[in-house]
Amino acid sequence: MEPLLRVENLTVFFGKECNHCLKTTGPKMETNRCRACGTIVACQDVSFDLFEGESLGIVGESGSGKSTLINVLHFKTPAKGSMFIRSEFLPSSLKAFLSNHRDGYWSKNLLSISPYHKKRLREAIMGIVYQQPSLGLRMEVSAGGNIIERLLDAGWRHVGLMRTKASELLNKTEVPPERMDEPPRVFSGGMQQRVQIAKALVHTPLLLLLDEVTTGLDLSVQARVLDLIRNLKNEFGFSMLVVSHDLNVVKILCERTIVMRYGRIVEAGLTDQVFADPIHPYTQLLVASRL
Amino acid sequence: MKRLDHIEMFYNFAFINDEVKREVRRAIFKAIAIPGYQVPFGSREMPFARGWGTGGIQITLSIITPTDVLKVIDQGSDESVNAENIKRFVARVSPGIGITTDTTQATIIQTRHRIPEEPMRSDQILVLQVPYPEALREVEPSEVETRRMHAEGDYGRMWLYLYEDIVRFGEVRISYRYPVRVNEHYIMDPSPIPRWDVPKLNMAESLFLFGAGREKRIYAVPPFTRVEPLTFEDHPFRIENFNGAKCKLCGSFDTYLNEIIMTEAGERIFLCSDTSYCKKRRKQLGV
Amino acid sequence: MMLQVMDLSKVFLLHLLGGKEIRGCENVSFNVDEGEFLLIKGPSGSGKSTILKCIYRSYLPTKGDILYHSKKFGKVNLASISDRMVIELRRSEIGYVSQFLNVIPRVPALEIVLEPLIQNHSILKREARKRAEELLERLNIPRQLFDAYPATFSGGEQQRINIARALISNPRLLLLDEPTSSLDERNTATVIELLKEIKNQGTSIIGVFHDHQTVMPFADKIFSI
Repeated sequence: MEPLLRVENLTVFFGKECNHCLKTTGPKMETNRCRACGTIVACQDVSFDLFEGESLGIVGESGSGKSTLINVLHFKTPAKGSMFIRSEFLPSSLKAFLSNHRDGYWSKNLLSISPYHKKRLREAIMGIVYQQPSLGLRMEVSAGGNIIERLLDAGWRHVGLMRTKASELLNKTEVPPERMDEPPRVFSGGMQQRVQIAKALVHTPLLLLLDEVTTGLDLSVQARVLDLIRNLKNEFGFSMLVVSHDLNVVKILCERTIVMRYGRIVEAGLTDQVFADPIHPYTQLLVASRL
Repeated sequence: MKRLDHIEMFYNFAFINDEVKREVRRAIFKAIAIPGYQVPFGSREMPFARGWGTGGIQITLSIITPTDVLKVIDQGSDESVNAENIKRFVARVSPGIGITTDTTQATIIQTRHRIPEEPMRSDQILVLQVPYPEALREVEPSEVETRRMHAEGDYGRMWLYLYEDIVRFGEVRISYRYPVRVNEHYIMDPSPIPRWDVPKLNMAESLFLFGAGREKRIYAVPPFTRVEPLTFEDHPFRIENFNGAKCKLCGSFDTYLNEIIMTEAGERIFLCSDTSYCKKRRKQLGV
Repeated sequence: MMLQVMDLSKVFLLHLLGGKEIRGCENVSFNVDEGEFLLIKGPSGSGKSTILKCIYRSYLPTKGDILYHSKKFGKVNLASISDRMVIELRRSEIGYVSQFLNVIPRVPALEIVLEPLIQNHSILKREARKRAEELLERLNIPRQLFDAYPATFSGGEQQRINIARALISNPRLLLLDEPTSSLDERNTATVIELLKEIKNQGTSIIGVFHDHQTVMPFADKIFSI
């Protein structure tokens, strides 16, 4: 029951910030745009722990900062605040650089390590699946190539072995391996998502980031993708961060849920508690509007 | 003779003045110190059109001394217009240098698209003209991004490009500008030499200097440096195969051959691409 | 003592209705010992399931303490421990059976039943499968339904899947919220038989039943609202 990841006071501004930014934004002010300077406060003081093998849901409407949060964790968006991973989970090749020598338990603040180390850490322990497959896949490159790119990054140089590995992964994500040489551009939406998932699983991630993965898919396809994710989680045991505006997705996948609005966490709790007994007015509205 | 005097009076030896030479030489030194790294330099206007070897000529003019012997080739040929023009220009602005077509006699060889057939020695420098110095340009249009990729050794996409070729065509299709890894570090564009010449860069005795005038980059492969073409373990690198064809003139079958269509009926012959080598061989054989 | 509920109250504050307050339960106190069965009785709407949901932490208690002697953490207050600890306890010690089955679509019945076993305990999938099959068989679920999706099942079948899911990992504390509401007499009797068995093994049970007459004889204590 130990945490894998600790996020503290994550704050993201889009724009030149001023002294009024934090005071004039947030759920109480019902906006995330600073009245004085127009800066967007995408996240403010977001803190949470993610435990080993846990799936944590983040719900909220668009503009609530949930996708920004996932981009910060994926080292795509810079942020203030801190993010730590348990030292023992650092890949051995990065331990020397990223261990915190004063505190053996947590790593250094991952938000302030070099871009090079961020990239290597991301490659080693994370996988991400986006709502739009075009963000996660190269549409002009074959489906197999998309997966193999991550193997190449890791130094694999044997075409035959890489293709075996890629077809195994595609098999796991229910994509017919005989289609691995076709570009994902010709695949259906659900299949594109499954290729993305296969790509995310290449290095057996510790942390899987899911950004609205089922949004825009047909209901039956949605169910299939969610089911697949759940089975893979049981098999691989990774932790997940599930961002969605669809409460049902979070309900199916997550044990704990965070509710965000205008860049702030307004409520956090066990998923069934958040849904059965929402405390914050916004969460009550959200749950009441559920289909 | 009158014109030569004129040039001697108004121009520095080897056309460009000493400050500029110093800058270019500094770039060359840095390039030698970091094999395969593209050093930016202030490429000057030359009395040539850009794209006609302005990068190569700036290197040649910066390193040439009156005791040097120069050879210039264009796709293996000593007699092409481009090669001839460059040779005459350098000779006119650099009084005292020697000009040759014999690879073994030259101390500096400026070339476009070929490396001579005869092995080069440690006292020789090969200056290659480069149109596109960035090997990663094929996969990434942004210069900022390619520099980052070089800095971080982020070459997955280049490899992916080769992988996709293998998937689609069964082999890597690149015939010219085959990307190489220099000194186990940077991926480098060897300039548009054929695959045939790529192995000659590896652990060579001579120094290779690459100049891209339009793109304002200089890079180098120092002597005895490992240069490996990018290949997969189960798909080895292969040079061109002429299927036993021979040079029509000298009969050579172990040189890089040009295929020439002679008649409208499509009758074709093969000729050595390296003309001076071909000539030398014919003389030896008495053909 | 296994569980001690002290002065428990739950008030729902409905912001959407202009801050209207709804009382779930008020000042509830009771104790449950190991292996004891507590039956909660009261008219509908009196807050019977509110109490169960507060213990299970589906509801956040407004006031009061719920002291539980856990195997894993010792004595804890379920009203205030971290979410993470609640998850751990739910996995290994506290089971809950509701009236309705609430699981993912497209997962076969057998998988749903054995899932908690695989998640929490280091047990072979084959072994888990066997136990799940035995349990479902005892609950009179026809074999051909094992691989079917429970979304299509009848109310009674869904309820029995639910019970099997809660019982499979032998919880120390079992919360039952009208688990037999859609079952016929024969199946109700089977469920009660099963409950008796695990009670004898030391499991404490707190239950709400729609017809208490059937379970009355085997209740140790009755709490009336």
